[in-house]
Amino acid sequence: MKDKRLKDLIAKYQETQSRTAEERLLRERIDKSDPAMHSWSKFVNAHKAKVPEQFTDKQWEKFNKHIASTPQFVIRIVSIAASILVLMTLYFSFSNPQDELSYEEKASLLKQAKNMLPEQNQEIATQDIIYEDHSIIIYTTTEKNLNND
Amino acid sequence: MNKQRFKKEVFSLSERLYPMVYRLLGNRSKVEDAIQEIMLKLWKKRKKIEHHPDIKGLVFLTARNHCIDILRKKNPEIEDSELYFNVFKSENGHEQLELKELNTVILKILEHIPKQQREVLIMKDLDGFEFEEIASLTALNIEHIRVLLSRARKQVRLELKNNYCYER
Repeated sequence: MKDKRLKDLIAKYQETQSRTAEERLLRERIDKSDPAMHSWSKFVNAHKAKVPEQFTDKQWEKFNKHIASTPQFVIRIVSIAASILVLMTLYFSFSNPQDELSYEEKASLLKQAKNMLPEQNQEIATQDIIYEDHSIIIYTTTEKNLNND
Repeated sequence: MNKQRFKKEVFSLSERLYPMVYRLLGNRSKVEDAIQEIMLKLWKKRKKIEHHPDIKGLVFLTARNHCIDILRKKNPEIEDSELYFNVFKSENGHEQLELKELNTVILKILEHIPKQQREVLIMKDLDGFEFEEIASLTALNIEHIRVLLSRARKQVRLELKNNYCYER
């Protein structure tokens, strides 16, 4: 590269007026005639990484596979199904009318149970305790069937 | 943000991140893994970043912080990520030695220039960021960045010239 052009490029570079392409050209063409610029360019060239060809496309392919294989979608479906199942279980266990007895049925069962008890016990209407200690209880009672006789 | 928009606005920046990530991690497979991890991080936050005013800046910052985290896991003493360079590799033993020496000289120069100037210089010349991208990363305006960069370039040149004269 001619000296004049090289000097102009270096000046532009120093003033930050150079474009990316011009800076690349400067780094490639600079020789030891300008040792400072040559050293800096060598340093930059050694550290500046070149992007591999089709880097983004290859990376995207990998990334796409990864996000597609993550079980996000499956997790969502399974959790929705589980929630529905829990709600259905709760609904049926609390609202099934077959398991619950109506008031009339309960009354009839109570009546049935009462009838199973000996009649005598039912006849004792009231008991007035006269005396009570650890071994004896003395009480008075009225029996309805006496009146019937 | 759907997959196509994510690909267009976020993932397409992978190539722009490559030089910086490579400079910090210094190995192609590590760079690829790191970029995948960065993108996955951003993908998980896609609903939040959808309305971000500066998506590009956010991507670059996420990438830089991710690399610094990796470096700190290996070496907790690392403080200044701008001054972290991987050792040159060359098949030629003599060249390797020369490059190592040059590396030492330039790192010393960089250590002595103000932090903001150094940061901007490395972002522009080594990481290959454009002025707008540096503005997003540093929250400085472009004119200020130009001033810092110009001062840094001039300072490096001067120091290298002095060093060259001294060697002669």
